[in-house]
Amino acid sequence: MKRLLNVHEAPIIIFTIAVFLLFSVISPDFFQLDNIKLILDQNISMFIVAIGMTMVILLGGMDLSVGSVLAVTATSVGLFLGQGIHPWIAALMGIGIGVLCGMVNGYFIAVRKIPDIIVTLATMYIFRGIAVGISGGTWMTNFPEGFRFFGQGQLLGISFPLLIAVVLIAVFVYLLKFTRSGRKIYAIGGNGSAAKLAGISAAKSKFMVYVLTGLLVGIASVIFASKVGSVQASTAGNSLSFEVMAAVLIGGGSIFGGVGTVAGTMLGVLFMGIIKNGLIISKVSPFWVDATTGFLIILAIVINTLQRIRQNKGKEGDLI
Amino acid sequence: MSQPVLTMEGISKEFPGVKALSGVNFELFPGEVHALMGENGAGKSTLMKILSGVYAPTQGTIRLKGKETSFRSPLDAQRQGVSIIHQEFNLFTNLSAAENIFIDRPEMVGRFGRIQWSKLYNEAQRLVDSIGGGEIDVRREVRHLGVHSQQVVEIAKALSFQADVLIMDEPSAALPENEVKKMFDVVNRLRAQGVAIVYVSHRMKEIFEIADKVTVLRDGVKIDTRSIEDVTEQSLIQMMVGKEVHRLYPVRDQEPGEETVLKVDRLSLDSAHAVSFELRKGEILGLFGVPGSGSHTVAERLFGLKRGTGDILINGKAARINSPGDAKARKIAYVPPDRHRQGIIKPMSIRQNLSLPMLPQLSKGLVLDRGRIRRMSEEYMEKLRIKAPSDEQSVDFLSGGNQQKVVIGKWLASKPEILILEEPTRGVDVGAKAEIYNIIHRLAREGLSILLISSEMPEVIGLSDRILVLYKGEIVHEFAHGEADQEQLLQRASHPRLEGGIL
Repeated sequence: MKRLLNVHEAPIIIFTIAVFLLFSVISPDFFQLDNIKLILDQNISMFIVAIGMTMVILLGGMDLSVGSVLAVTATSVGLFLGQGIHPWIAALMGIGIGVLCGMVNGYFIAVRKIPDIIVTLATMYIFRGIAVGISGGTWMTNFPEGFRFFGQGQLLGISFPLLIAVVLIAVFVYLLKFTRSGRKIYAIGGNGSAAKLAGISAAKSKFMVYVLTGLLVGIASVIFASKVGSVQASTAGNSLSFEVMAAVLIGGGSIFGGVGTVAGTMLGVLFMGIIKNGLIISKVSPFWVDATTGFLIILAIVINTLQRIRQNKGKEGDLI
Repeated sequence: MSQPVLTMEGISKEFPGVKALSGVNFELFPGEVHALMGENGAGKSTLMKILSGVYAPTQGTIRLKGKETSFRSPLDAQRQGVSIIHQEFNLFTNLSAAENIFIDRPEMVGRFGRIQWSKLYNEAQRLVDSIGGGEIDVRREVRHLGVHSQQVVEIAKALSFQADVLIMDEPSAALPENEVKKMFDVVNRLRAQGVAIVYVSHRMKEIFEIADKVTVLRDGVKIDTRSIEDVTEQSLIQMMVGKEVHRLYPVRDQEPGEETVLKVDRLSLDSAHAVSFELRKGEILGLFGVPGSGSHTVAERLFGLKRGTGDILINGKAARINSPGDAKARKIAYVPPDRHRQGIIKPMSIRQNLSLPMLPQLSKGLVLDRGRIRRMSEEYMEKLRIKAPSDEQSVDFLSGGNQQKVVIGKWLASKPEILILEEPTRGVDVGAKAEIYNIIHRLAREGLSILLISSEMPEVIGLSDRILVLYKGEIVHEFAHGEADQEQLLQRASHPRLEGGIL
């Protein structure tokens, strides 16, 4: 039990279970297989984007532009489809645009060494602006039948987007935990100067992380466009950046870098998904959903902090 | 004898699971400099924190000028006349010295909340002058002041509360060697004014120079308070560690080899200065200079952190070193001076820290070879006697000495031929120091060539085969083994032109 409590993700696991049980008691409609499937399904894009954000925050950075990247990629895919391009080609081209956006962010942040908050604040407007510009401000709808597979299709009886998300989570858990690249990300975020002295190039890792984030947002945006069936450039992914950052922090990530896991973040996304779904099912007025969500985020982060303080109690350095 | 200004009786402090202090008695008289010594973890910081109002004691009483009192907060302690000057200064570098001294003080505010600038400046200048800081313009922003002047500002700030008791935590740590004397002048003035000073320092030499009395703590218990005339360096160390330490520095029983491993030719430190020297196999070459002499730059150049001109020859072959990666490839390792900022990665475990410079060698392709990493880490835990329950523990939980061993260990694992050590024992207690010195000796005996850059003179003298003295970017003197003593070394490092003159 004690060992279990010392797992990094322990607070968020317990908190998620508590919220889950609470909603199950409040509303009989909550704890239903269909509803749980719905929660997962509605948050697929967030799961995928949050993987990228975990790496960005591990580096001690932040990315305000992911929502706009989602908008510009989804809009582009819509345009490609409108031109009669094959859905698979259109999807791949869209993902390529996501990667391109990531390269733009990565270039200015890693190579030109401009602070990430400034770069992504600017690109947040730029990418959103491009999305609105190329769409001419109109809704993109009427996607061809073949495109629905990405968001709504099934493979071997399992939801295709869910499958993609699970594969991506597995790949990135492995990358962060078992490979050199992953270890470098933790080292740079944990102490940049020490990492530099160990011969680790921060620029390469940073660039890679922003490009991978672009790739993940690209994938998420194809799923998003296919699932929703329509894209509006000015609103798609509007609050995505902040929600995803919140999920990373709820999942135990540190805004100062060096601390956090993909598993924790995924729980963070799940936690936020459960709250939104549960509040609506429990008939909380939709006008109060945002405020309640914010309150629960603070609560989760306070619990995380308390856990960290508890773990540091046995430390000699600070006490004596 | 006069009355004590401060008396602490039976002070105990418990934290969950730890008894940091038990039954400590401490008396402080006006106009005395009272050194407080002990290894890291002995309870010095806890005692200081109780004295300065950060912690409340679990048990015990504090009497200030005969009256029993308690400190609710650091500000409360200051108002009652007990001030502390921390090792790291607490100054607003973007504000003037005067504003720093009287920050947020109602007596400086006039009608309608207007700050009375002329009163503020005059009072501040008077305070600064009174402790011999006449050259400081209190209207200037603190960031334009040197370290010594910043310390004077800190002291003036403490005195502005009419301090009867001043606690100085490692006051010389931030100062260049040649400014320590100036700080002593300030302390002497304070002593003459009747201020009681608690002087906390690891540096033996200073204690004997400045203190009147010394109190030693060990494992949260007061060992003794003695007059400084009644102790020797040896007996103090013995009191601190509890067992007889025969020698801090091991006996060098082997001569360095003949072959030159590293040859540096006109290596530029800045546009006007360059150094040339050679390092032989298995040699410990000391490089000593006061801050600003360029000794740190030598390390930066050799490790590729700074670029410039000049030649570096390793085993007779010219080497281009433009990044830490290049240096690593040439089998150069560097233990940096600031372990918190440049050495350890706190959120990571001991094992992860140890394996960091060696990741490419400890991987199969891109994937980490966890078995080899574990074996490597266990090997170096053992070799350097890093004390921790497991190598999977976070380095953040280790003592300073053990953290430093991790930093040294991670570089040894890369099997270097040249090891640059900069301030290898900064902020480390005596016991760990002796261990690290032993490690350095063992490494040299095994054939590693070591460049030792340190501002601690006893360390440079005690360990080095040869010592190069650096002054303003030039090597001004070379001492052969056993030639140097502290006085000569400091003299060469601060006034090289005065041949045999007095210091």
